[in-house]
Amino acid sequence: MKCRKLLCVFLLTLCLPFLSGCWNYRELDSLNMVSAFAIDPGTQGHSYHLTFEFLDATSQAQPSKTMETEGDTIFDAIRNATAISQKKLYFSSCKTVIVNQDLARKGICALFDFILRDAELRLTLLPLISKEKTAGEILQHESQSSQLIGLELAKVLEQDSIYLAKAHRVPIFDAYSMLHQPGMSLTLPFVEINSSKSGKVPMVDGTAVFRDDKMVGSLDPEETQYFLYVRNEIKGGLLLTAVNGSKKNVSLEILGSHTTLSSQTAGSRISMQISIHTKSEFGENQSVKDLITQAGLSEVQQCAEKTLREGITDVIKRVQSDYESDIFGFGKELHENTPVYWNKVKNDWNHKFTSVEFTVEPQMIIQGSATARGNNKAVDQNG
Amino acid sequence: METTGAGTESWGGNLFTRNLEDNITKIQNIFRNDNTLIVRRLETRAEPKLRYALIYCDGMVNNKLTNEDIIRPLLEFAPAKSGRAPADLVDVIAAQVTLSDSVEKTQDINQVIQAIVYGDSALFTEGFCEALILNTKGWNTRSISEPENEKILRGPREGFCEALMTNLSLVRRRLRTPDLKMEFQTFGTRSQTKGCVCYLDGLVNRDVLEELKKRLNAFSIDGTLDVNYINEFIRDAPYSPIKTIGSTEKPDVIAAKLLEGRVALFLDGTPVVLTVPHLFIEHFQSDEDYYVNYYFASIGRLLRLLAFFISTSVPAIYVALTTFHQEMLPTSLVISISMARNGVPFPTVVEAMLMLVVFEMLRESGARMPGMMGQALSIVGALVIGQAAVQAKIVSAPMIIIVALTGIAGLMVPRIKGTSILLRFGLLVMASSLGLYGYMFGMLGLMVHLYSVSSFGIPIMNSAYSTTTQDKKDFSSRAPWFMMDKRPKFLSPNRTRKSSGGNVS
Repeated sequence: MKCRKLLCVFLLTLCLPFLSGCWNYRELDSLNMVSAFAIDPGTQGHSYHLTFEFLDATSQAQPSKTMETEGDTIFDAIRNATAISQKKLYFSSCKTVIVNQDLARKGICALFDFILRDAELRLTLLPLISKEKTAGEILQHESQSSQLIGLELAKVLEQDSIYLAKAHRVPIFDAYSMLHQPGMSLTLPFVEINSSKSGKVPMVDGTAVFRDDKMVGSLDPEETQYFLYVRNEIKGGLLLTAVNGSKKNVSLEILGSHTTLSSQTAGSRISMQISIHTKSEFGENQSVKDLITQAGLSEVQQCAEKTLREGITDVIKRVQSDYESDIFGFGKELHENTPVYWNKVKNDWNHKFTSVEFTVEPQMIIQGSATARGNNKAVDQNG
Repeated sequence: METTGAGTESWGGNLFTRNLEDNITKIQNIFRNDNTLIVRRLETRAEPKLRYALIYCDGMVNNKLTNEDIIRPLLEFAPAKSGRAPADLVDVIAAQVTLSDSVEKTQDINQVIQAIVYGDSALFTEGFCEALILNTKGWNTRSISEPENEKILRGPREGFCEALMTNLSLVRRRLRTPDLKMEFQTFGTRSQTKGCVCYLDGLVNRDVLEELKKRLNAFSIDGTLDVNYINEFIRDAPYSPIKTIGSTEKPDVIAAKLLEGRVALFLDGTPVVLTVPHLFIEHFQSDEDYYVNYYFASIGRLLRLLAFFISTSVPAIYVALTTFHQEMLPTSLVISISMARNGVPFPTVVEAMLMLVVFEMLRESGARMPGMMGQALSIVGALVIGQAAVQAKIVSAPMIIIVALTGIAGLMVPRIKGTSILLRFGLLVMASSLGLYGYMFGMLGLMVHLYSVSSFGIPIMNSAYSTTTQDKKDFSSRAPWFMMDKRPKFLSPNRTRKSSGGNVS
């Protein structure tokens, strides 16, 4: 009896590898690991034209290949790839999605639904808007480090936010919450092809501004930097300022920055106070004067604060007048701190936003002068 | 005396007679066709009536001993001048003549036969039906040397040899107390191998001791050439791959285990000694842990635990991650693995199975091979099977790394080698059919099993039943000796190490 029982267990165990069919067993080399895909309007009667960039494991030198498909929905276009490639497209390592700007103008929510819903795609995916005619051509160039462009762009955005602060890195889960949060509008980074003598490579360049889910305009890299100050998303980067004249001749390396928004309301008047507290280090001096003195540093500080104030004022005014879209989160501030007042203005917020008054109060703290004291000697003699 | 091959029982009832020649014939009949049996007839010049026969097995006795201490005194012995042998001649010989250290008088033919085959000599005297059994054992044994598979860098290096009495003396020398009890028992209906149950009175858990004795008396086998014959009869969970009885070849280990209240089982003819009960953590304990600084000992212990995890789980986890859960791998790792796998014809599982089997073959051939072939083996292993297989795209390079890591980790914990090989393949099959789910089911099953098995009434995961830090002090790390006040839980009724032991209780 015991023997029969054992035999039973043994036979059932034996069945395990044969009957289970290896649930979800996929070899890595049966998958096309997609690193990025681009969404364009369809050409042959279909709604969408997708371009995928995926890993080409067969070649060492040029690891990426692209493939193009059409479909009526994004999912449809992805599944249509099966007709072209024996390997299934696999999206877990997909880092970026590039969206055609015409599609972005028509509304981006429809494009994001599949990305947010699908199990394979990650919510940390980084959407970018293409400045080129089609989004697909971004992926058809070689990347700077002969890596996959999708991975390169993701890395570039990450580095940018730490060292340059001229691009707004928005993962798709952030984009979703920006779309749905009251008093906040979506911004996404732009990508374009940068042509130089050394070749054509994709480059992150400026920010796309959305009203609701439709793209309405753009900020250039400089404006993006000031915009990021208001959004309290500055982690590093440089601030160039002009001391003694109009030419920008001093670089300050930003070590950290903190911005607080506070609102005051009186009737239909809304005023925002933007206080910025920035720590920096003296990074470069191109002027003829020795600025590493008590007086010199306070002059640099005042110039930097002025630059910040003017830059921020300009960008807010331009967005208020040109785009009528609250990308700075003024409405969010009202929503969080004066919810009763927010309920009165929320229905017409995009319009109300244009008349928000604001004051910018930057405070720049220069902590040191890196590894040099005083001025460069040659400059000193001339001066 | 129909047949000599029917076991010892057939000699029962055959008593010796007063006739010397009859007795000799009787013994010779039992040992017929055995030419090692020597019958040495002795007569003294002074008294021709006094005739003896010394019977022994050639090669089993110390010839110098028999010549000098038995034959010479016998030949020179001349009892009273009366001309008649005294009525208690045998007793006189035993007490006054022979120089043997152990003399026993018997009429039992079985006892005589047992003595002869165990290297003693039997002395028969004309006119008496009693035989004297004289201790003349003297055979060659291996000298005491360091066991090959339990080498240490620091600490006692003596190892057991194949002679039971030598082995017992090695333990006795380390524990000089009358509490050290050694109870002999014979195993094997035919081999009649002598065994010894050894424990420290006052420290031993009586329930464990009684259970062991009960089980030792409950089985029957014709020969026991190694303790494993007995092990498989008496162990708990006989079908489990997990050991429930420990074994060692080192007297210092046995002494330490006896001091923790365990029982040791020695067997003549093997250097391996069993200890019960056996806890799971003992797989990872080495005697060296206690002889070196506790920091380094703890690092070693943790590394061994990690090595056990690696050797059982790494192939399974690798297969699960690369074939089911690619999203769990970092992108750059996915890229390098898919680059490496490009062009490899076999599925990852097959690759893993193939390389693991090859590794086991290399290991097994290394263990059984004459020493000078080692270099050839390593060339075959490293170049032919490793590098060439990768270059020929038979297996992928990451798989070689995984298998090498598994193999090295497995060799780190030799005590649990067999178990880890079984678990490795088991978990691999589970992981390749259900991914990480399968692996986790396998691990769960293992855990349920480990926590349900006990060794002689003591749960093998005994420290899990305790919340005090004292019971964790010799677990995944080793505490300094001055902090280990207590013996492991359940092993001994007298848990305080400082106490003197059995005489008190």
